[in-house]
Amino acid sequence: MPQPSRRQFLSSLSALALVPVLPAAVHATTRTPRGGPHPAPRAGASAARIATNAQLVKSPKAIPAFEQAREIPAILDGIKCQCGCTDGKAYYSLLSCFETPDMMASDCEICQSQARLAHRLHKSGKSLDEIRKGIDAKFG
Amino acid sequence: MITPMIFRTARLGLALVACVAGTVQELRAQVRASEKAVVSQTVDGTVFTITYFRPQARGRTELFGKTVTMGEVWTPGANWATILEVSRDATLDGHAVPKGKYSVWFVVGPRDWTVILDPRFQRFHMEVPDSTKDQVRWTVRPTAGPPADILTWSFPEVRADGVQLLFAWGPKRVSLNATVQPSHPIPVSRAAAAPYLGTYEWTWNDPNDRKVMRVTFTHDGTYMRQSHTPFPDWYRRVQGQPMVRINDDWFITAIIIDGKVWEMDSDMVWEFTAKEGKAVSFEIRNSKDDLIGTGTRVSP
Repeated sequence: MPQPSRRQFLSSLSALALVPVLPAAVHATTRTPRGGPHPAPRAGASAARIATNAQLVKSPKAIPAFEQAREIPAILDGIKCQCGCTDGKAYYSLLSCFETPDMMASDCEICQSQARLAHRLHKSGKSLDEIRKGIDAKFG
Repeated sequence: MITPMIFRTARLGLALVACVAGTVQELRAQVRASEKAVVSQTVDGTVFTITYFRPQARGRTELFGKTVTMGEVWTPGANWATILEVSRDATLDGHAVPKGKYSVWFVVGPRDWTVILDPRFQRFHMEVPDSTKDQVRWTVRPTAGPPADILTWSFPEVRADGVQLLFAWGPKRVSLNATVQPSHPIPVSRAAAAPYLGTYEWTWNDPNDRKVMRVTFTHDGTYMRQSHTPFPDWYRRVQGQPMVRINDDWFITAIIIDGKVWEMDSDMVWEFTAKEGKAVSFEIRNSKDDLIGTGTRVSP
C-alpha cells in the first residue's frame, strides 16, 4: 500500500485544523475597522463610569481631558475612537476609552486629543455630525 | 473517609485534565519548519499587512519546477495560505483591490506567473481555490535575484502614493506595485480656493513677532499655497507648501520636494473663520488641539 505524501497527509488534516481556527476567523470579521462608521449615542450615556481625578493619580496630565470628557459623555458616545488601541476590544465609543476599569485614555494622547477637540467644537456650537467630521479629518 | 477506589478515580481524572492541558500548551508553543511572520506597511493611512508562514529552501536547489511544479496553484508561503489585508481600497499593478483580506496564490509558469487574490482568506495551503469572479487575477513576470533561502515578503519601496510588495524565495522575485487613494487630494479649483486667497498677519502666539503670510493660487492653477515656510533652512529643496483641505475650512500643508509629496499630515491644522464667504482669520492647532498660532487677514 503506497505511503501518503506529506502533502496528502497535511491535506487530510486540513478539515480538522479548521476547527480551532473558526473562533479566530469570527474574531477577525468582527474587529472594529479603523476609520469606520461612528456609533449612535446610546440613550442614557453618562459620565458615571468615567474615571475620577482620584483614579488618575498615575496620569495627572490626563486629568484635564477627563474633566472635559465628563462634560460631554453623550457626544463622546457618538464618536468612534480613531486611536487604534481599541481594535478588537469591546469598546463601544470614545466614551468607553475614558471609563473604568480600563480608562485606556489615561495613557493615550490620541484619545485625550480627540476628547479635547470634541469638547471645543461642541462648546463652539458644532453638531455631533460636524464634530465627527472634524475628528475624522484630524485623526481618521 | 476517602476510599481507595474514589482516590484512584480522582487521581485518574486529574491525570486526564493534566494531559489535556499539556496538549493545549504544546499546540500553543510549537516549533514549525515554516514559522509564522507578519509584515505591515502604512502609506497615507492605508495599511498593507501580509501574514504568512516562511518555508526555507534547506538545500533544495530547484524550488520552482520541482518543489513547486509548473502550472501549480501555490500559496507563496506554507501551512496556511498567505494572507494580504488591505485596510482601504487600493490597486495592485493597476488592478482594483477592495478593502479586505485575501488569500494569495501564484500559478507558477516557466516564464510568466499568475497572481490570484481570493476573498476566501482562511484556507489551508492545500485548499487551492477554484476560479471565481470575486478573485483578482493578473499576470506578472518574475525576475531573478540572489538566492534567498527563506521565503520573504517585504516592502522595499514606500512612496507617498503607494508601496512595492516584494516576494523573494530561491532565485525568484515578484514585485507588486500597490497604489492607494490619497486621503486628501492636493488639487483644488480656483473657485474653492478663492475665499482663502489674500495676505494675513500672523504669529506663533507671540504678539511681538508678527509675520506676513500670503495665500496664493499656483501659476498652473492646480493648488493653493502659502508663502510662509516654517523651516526655510531645513529643507532647501522644498518647492512650496500647498494648502490641502481636510475639512470645510480646515487645511494642512504638504511639503513637496523634487516634485513629489514628501509629507502631509495633520500635526498642524489651519482652521479658517469665514464671514460673508471670505476667510477673515485663522487659528493654527497642533495634534493635541492646542492653539499654537493665530492670523488675521490684512488685505481684502
